[in-house]
Parts: sequence; C-alpha cells; structure tokens
Amino acid sequence: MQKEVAETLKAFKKASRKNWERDLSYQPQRLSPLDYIVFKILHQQFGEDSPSLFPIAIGIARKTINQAKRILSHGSL
Amino acid sequence: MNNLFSGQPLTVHQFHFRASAGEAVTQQMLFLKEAFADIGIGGKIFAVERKNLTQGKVEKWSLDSAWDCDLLLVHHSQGNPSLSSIQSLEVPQAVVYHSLPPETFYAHDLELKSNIVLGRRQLSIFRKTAIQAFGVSALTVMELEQAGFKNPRLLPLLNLDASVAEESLSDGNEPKNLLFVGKLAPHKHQALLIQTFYHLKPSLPDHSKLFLVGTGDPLYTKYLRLLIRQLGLSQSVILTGKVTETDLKSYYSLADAFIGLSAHEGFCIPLVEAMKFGVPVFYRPLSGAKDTMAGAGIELLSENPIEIAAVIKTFLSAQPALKAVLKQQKKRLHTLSLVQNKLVAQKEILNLCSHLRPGRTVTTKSIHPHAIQPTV
Repeated sequence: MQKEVAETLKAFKKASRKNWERDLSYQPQRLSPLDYIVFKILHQQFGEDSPSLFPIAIGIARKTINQAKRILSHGSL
Repeated sequence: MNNLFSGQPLTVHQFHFRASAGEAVTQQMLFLKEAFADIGIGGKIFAVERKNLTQGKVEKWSLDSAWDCDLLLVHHSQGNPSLSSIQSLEVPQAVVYHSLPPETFYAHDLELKSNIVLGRRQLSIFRKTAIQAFGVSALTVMELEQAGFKNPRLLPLLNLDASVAEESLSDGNEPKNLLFVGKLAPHKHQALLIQTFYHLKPSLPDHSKLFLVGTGDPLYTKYLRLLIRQLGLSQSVILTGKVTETDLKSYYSLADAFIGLSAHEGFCIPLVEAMKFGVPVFYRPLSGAKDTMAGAGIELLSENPIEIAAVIKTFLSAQPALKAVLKQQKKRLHTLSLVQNKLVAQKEILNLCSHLRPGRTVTTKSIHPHAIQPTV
C-alpha cells in the first residue's frame, strides 16, 4: 500500500497547496470581517496541529490584523 | 442473587465529583454497580455535580449518606474539590484512576488547566490513603505504576462482547461517511480532522460527509464552527452535538471509516464501538488509543493533514485491504473482551472485599468458572 499512498499523496499535495492558501484567506461570502478576525485568533490558539501549515497561518494572521486596522480606520476593506 | 459473603451483605459505594449521562466515568460507575449487583453486592453512586441523569441513578454526595459501606471506590480524573471531605470518611477507600489529558492543551481555559494539574497532584494523596489503586486501561495502570502505586490492577470500563456487526463496505462510487465520536476538545484534534477532510473531499464521491459526534469545550467548538465555514465545508462537516444512543448507533452503522486523531486518550471507548460496528478504524497510535487498538486498524503516523488524507483515500479505495483490516479488528475485539468484561470487574472487587472481611467465607458458585477463584 505504501506505493499507492505515495502516489495519492503526490496528487493531493499538488492540488491542495494553492486551494488551502486561498481558502484560509479572507472570503466575505464565508465569514464576516469580525468572525474572520475571531477565527484567525482562535486558529493561532488551536490550529497549529500541522507544523507545515502554521507558518502560513501566522502570515495570514498578520495580514488579517492589518486588514482589521484598515476597517477600523476607513470603514471598509 | 444471594450474597457471596456470609453474614451481612456487602456494600460498595462509588464516587466521582462530576456525573453526567453518556460521560465515560459515569458509564463505568453504572456498569460496575450492575456487575456488583449480579453477585449480591449493593451500593450507590454519588457525585457532587450531576447533569442530565435519570432520577435516582446518581445521588447527591454527602458524608451522612455514604458512611454505610464496606468499600468506597473513588473515581479520580480531574481535580476533586471534595477530596478532603471524602478522605475524612472512615471507610476503606480504593481509587479508580481515569487518565488526564496533558494540561498544555488548555492554555485558553485556566480553570480546566488548573483542574488537570490538581488532579495529577491529588493522585499522589491516594498513594498514602487508598487500600488499592485501579486503572481502567493498560495506560492508566502504567501511569499508576509510574506514580509509585504498588500493584495497581485493571478495573474494566465496560462489558465487552466480541460480536461484530456484519461488515458492509460501500463501493467506491457511493458517498462516504467519515466519523469521529468524542468530546470536542483540543487534545482530540477535531480541527486536524476537519483539515484532513478538506484535503480529502475533492477525491471523494459527491455528498460525502464528516460527522463529529459530541459536545465539549465552548471556545474550541466556536473555533471548529468558524473553521468549517472558512473552509467552505458547512454542507459536508456536521457537528452533531449531543446524540441519543439510538442516533449514535445509526452514525456507527452508516460510517465508512472511523478516524481518531487524538493526541491523548485514556482508553477511547468509541474505537471499540467502531470495531464492533465493523467500521475500519484509522487512528494515531498514541497513549491509550495505541493500547486499545494494539496494532489493529490503520495507524496514522503523521500529523500532516494532507498525508493523513492520502492514507485514508488510498485505503477507502482498496476493498481487499479494508477487509483485511476488519478481520484484524475482529481479533483485537476478542482479545480485549477477555479483560474488559463484567467477570473481571466482579473478580477484582471480590478479591479486594475478601481482605476487608477476613475470616468470612466467600463462595463462587454463582460466578462464571473462568471469572474468579478468590480465597479467604
């Protein structure tokens, strides 16, 4: 089964990486800005199970905080 | 049934600080009460905090009502604020230790974190006061040994019969139902499971679902709900909340795979339930889950959701491999049923009680011949 798992993994990695980055960024149709900020904070607390994904999450969290600052100062994203 | 001891009937009370319907410690207390009653040992169950329980199953703890026993089984997990009051009761006490999760998972909940730390500290108190220490799994027995308890014994969690529901592996084109049953808690890693499902979903047939059965930590539950929405999985990842026993059976019956990614388990009864329902079990071989499965099922050696997803996908597409896994699980269930059963519980308690009533006769005629041969 190891060979089959390796082949599946290769295909998954190719397909998943881009989608994951996209799906973890702010998407207004999924969460409100406030919910997204809460999500990012909680994701930092609970979401670091996967070491390979956590650095991405930190980067996005920084972006989110900047976005939140913009919302607070200009009233829009 | 007649009492097995001559003279006064034996009474064994049980205590746990919290009791609620469906919770593992409470389930064990109810199971033990029934197992003891079968051999003529009476007793009540007491708790300080009681939730969602049928009237009369668990009584409110008070010193006045619990003194009339030969033995008090004190179930111990998280910190017990009533411990000093219990220990002031002048009756023989034995501790039944249920595992504690690592407190590092609870930085967000200081009350729970300190309760876990307190639970660990209090365990050493029992070393001086308890006449016997019991663990409920191989892991907890080992933890008791490491904590310096002499000759800790296993007291079963459940009466396991080794029968398995008929397997019905769905074919590759049918929607898949993935399942985990357990408290929503950081150390159970449901977030990792949702991430795994996110990577798995595009390769599964349409309408495939992940069911997370259980309630739990409010903040972690909030995070899981947001994670599900953020990843666009609202239609396919279902947090069921609390379910009835009938519904729980339906979830197991419909499951194509049980996936447990917990970093810590004491024993994990849902692993056993999944095996009984003929569901292939994927799990991380850590702590109690490793002992419970003992090599059966499919071990997940990675924490990376993409890698876990690849293993699950490959096995779900390989029916012969799944059949081999189910065969192995059947064997494991049989072995487990030899230690996790009513007769072992009866044997342990009779052996202990025989020391409490020296000089009394113990008869074993109504006990299964394989169960016990206590001598007094």
